[in-house]
Amino acid sequence: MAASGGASTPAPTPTSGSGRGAEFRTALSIYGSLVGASLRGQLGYRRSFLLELVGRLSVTGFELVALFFLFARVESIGGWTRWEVVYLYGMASLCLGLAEALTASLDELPELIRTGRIDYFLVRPVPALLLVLGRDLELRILGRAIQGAFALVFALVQLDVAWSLLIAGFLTLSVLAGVLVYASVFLMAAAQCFWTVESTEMFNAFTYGGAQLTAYPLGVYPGWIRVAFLYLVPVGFVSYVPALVVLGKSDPLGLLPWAPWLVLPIALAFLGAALLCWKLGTRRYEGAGG
Amino acid sequence: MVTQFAQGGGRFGDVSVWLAHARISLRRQLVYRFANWSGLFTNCFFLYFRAYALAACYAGRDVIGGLDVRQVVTYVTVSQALLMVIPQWGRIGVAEAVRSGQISVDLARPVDYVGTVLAQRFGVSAYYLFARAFPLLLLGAIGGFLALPAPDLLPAILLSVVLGAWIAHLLLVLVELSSFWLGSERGVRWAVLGIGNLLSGLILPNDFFPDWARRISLFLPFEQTLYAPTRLWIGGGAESAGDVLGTLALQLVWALLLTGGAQLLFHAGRREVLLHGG
Repeated sequence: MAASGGASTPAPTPTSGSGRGAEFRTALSIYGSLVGASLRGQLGYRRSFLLELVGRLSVTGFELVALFFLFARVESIGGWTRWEVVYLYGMASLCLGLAEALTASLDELPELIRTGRIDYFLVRPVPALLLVLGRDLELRILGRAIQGAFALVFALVQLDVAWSLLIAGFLTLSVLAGVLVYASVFLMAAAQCFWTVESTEMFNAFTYGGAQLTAYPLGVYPGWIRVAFLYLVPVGFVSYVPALVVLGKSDPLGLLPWAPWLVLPIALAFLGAALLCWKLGTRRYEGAGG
Repeated sequence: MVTQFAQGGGRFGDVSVWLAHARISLRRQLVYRFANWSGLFTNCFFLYFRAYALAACYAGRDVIGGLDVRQVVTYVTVSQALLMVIPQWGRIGVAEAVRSGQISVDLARPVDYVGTVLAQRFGVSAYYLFARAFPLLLLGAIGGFLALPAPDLLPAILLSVVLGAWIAHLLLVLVELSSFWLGSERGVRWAVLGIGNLLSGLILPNDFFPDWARRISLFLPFEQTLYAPTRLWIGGGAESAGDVLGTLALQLVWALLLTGGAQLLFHAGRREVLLHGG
């Protein structure tokens, strides 16, 4: 948001002017206090909070049960064994779950646009995106992330990984890049609402679909799916490529040897694209609303 | 308008109101055209990658859990096609009506409430049969992921889809009715969604389950929603006319049991509202 200056537009952009770094720090601290207020509010309703957390844990828990049912019948899928696939599944769940919790309040965007209340966010001298995101950081959504983390850790223990600083680094990088990419897709889905007002299921193919798809090794899919999820919406790239390094597997897809070093740049580039979509969306809204 | 219909009184009055409700909720779905195209895209995408992933499990073997690869990819197509017709999740407005107090207005109407909600839901299902199920069967066939069932099984499959939708909608009604007591039904909703996802055959064909899990599944209603009609289509459990009738009979028993359960729960909840609301 703050990266590309909107100096050419007559509409007052929140970040125009000097001292951008200081403003951004202010914005972040505002985001922090909004999140704090949201968390305190949620913990006030303890029973409802716990019920939903447990309920959501059960959804992803049964997904994992299904995976074990499958591996009771087969030894490997596409050359990947049970715990290697559990690793992929845990990584996908963890990243999707964290991204989902971070961006949960974007669900309300269609309603904010429809009623015009989005104006309150756009006129303030802080990036509107941070304000909308800070409205509601949903802790109870974390069920998926918690369960994904458990699956991931359990798989790593079972797999007997040859630990090194490099491998630990790529593991962390994979989680970070995964969260960024999934959050970017959620952001693109929200930005689309500036054009269509209603939210749609289309992007679910890349978020929930992406997580389910990358729970299996990419090699089982035909070329067009692999290309789409490695390079177009890189949820595959940020999970599959580091997995090869961490698990010490040889790559049947013939990716470049330095592909692992591209994980972070690709995730950041994708985030940039998502922020651009958001920017275009808000600009279109300001243009339409006068 | 609705109450005028019902003034005719008696059961037949109810039925004509229900038909109107079904028609109206079907028509309401027609408005969201972009949403349907985008949903169709998503369903189709899930269909394709799930078919490839499950087919990959057959490397070096012909049969898993009694199903061959042709049956499994057909299972993926059919279950994905029926997913919106026989939904495992979704908000149907009962809990919302309890929270907002709208339920007291609904209770004042002389039409059976559970029947009305079911009628609305069947209207939605009818819409998705044309907007999702048929297009997805076609798209699955184009990808080579569809084997057609024996023609003389088609009436049984269609009946099984209707019974499955009936059970699935009732499960959603029961989940939302729990908000009479719990205040929020969200925890129950997620728990049922979790079990339902697995046991309705949405993730894996139930024939892949270990025996103990399959036995548990046969004592719960979830398998009778989506997997029962899908299994008839792929020819599992359809070796004889008796097998087919058995599947349909089990579905009918669950549909009737849950209808009775929903009525009981609804009338108990109604007393709760009277106590709170005076």
